[in-house]
Amino acid sequence: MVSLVVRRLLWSVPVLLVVATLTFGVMHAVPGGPFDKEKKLPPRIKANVEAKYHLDEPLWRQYLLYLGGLSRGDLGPSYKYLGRTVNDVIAETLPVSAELGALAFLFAAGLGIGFGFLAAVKGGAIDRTNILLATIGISVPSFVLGALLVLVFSHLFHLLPPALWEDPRHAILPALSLGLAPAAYIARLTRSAVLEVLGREYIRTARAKGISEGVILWRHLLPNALTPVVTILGPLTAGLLTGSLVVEYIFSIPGMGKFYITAATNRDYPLIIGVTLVYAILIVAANLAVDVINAYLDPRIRLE
Amino acid sequence: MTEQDFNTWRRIWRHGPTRWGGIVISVFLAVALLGPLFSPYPYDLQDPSSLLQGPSLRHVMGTDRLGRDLFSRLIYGTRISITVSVVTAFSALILGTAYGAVSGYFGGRTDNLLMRGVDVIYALPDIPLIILMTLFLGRGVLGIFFALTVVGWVTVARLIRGEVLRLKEFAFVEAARSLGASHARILITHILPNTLGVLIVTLTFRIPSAILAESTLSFIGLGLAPPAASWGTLANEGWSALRFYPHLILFPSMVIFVAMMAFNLFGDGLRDLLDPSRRPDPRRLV
Repeated sequence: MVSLVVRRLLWSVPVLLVVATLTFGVMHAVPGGPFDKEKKLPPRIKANVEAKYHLDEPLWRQYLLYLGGLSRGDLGPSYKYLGRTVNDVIAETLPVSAELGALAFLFAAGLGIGFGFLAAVKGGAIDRTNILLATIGISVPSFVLGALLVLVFSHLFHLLPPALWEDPRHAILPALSLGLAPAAYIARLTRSAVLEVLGREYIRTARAKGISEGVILWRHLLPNALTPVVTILGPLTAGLLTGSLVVEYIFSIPGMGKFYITAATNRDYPLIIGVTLVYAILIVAANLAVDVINAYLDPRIRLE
Repeated sequence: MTEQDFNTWRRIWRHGPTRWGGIVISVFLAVALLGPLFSPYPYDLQDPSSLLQGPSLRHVMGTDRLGRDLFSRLIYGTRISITVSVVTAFSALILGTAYGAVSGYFGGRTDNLLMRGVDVIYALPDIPLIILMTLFLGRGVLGIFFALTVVGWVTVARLIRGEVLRLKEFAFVEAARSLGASHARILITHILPNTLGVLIVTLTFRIPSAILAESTLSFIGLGLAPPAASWGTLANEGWSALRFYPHLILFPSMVIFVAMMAFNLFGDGLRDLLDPSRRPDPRRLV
């Protein structure tokens, strides 16, 4: 178990290094620099600015400088938010995104596992409704849902604020927009996993031994049915990150995603590379967490 | 058409949701192909005398802030969105299949090396990766097409690799090898045809993923540059006028939803029929 974690952690270092290098390469291959504006800067000033950020040095030196900073955990200065480093911007925006992501995650996992479980166990009309709702859920892009929610709850009934991130009421619509598609997806997956486990012989054996339904549920059914569900929580985190980008844009939430979009339009290279790296770290961490939880749920994985 | 093919089609037709999904998909394909012939106005015709009108007999879906007919723009957008998604899905499928097949078939160190490449792309979330690529490739149809392909092929490669790993242990592969067939021949004529079911199902699910990615990208203003219009671009224009002219976002949203629903229903039906063990792709989650 410990060796699994250590091995995966070691492996994540080259992955992140490649991600950093690729992003760095792409950013510097893009035509047009961060200081090309409609109003041309005087050549001397431009040269000064570029010298300040080492943009006048050969690419390989810029790359080494960047990696040097990276090894000290320094993501460099932001080109557009003057006087602030990328670390500052991330430290300020990541908590907001994390809060939104965590809310959406809880909503998605709670609703998805609950509904999927209910549908599989009860069957009949509940099951059919669940399948229909889940298919609708995965077919609605978050921005469509977000727009609809704002239209109904903010503009029509004036119940909830349409934008910004201040008190808890601001979190409801964004979390719903972000969480619905994952919820629908988890519901589908949970349903099929529970159905599969219910058909297994060890469940019948447990019933034949006269074990109470409660124990069967908690000891036999859930741990086995949740393995595939836990497995997709890794990719789900990736999905939530991607989604939060859009949802933050729609609701003007000052999170990492909104800054990423602005940085992309502004060519703020260090900020783009920095946020991309944070995304990659989060995904690698999520996948690792998934493997650990699965090893805990399923002893067979532990032995590998 | 053999009798078996005929039976497959009949089973698809008999299953309500799959049938309706298929019918709606056909309508979308027809609109993408022939739509501009039936478009009441040119998609970029500005009419200053009728700005921001709600739906009426003259403009069934109303007009935007430049007086352009929304219905005509949606027809044009359908052509762009459907073309981008279908072409992207196909190219991701071809690239992913080739990569996954080689990786799975040769196994060992080749497999290890190739799959590490997949790991890197898997460590990046879709939309930021697409944004990076479009910065690099430009915001035209071609740039978006390449970016979506780069993101899309990985899932396919993983799936096909798994299939090939399983298939290459079968006796018919051993038989072909003992008869002296080359690697290429074994892969192309013996192994890949057996993945056809998986491929078709994957293709039907790649298309809504591509629709989602493209429309999301255009919605946040990093997709197709105006005056070109895709469903996402139109939704974005509607978003900025949400409060007072909700028709501008409701119609594009509805079209995106109906299209995605149709592809998902059709894909679900095909999967149950052709590939019952497969679960849907967990990366389609925006």
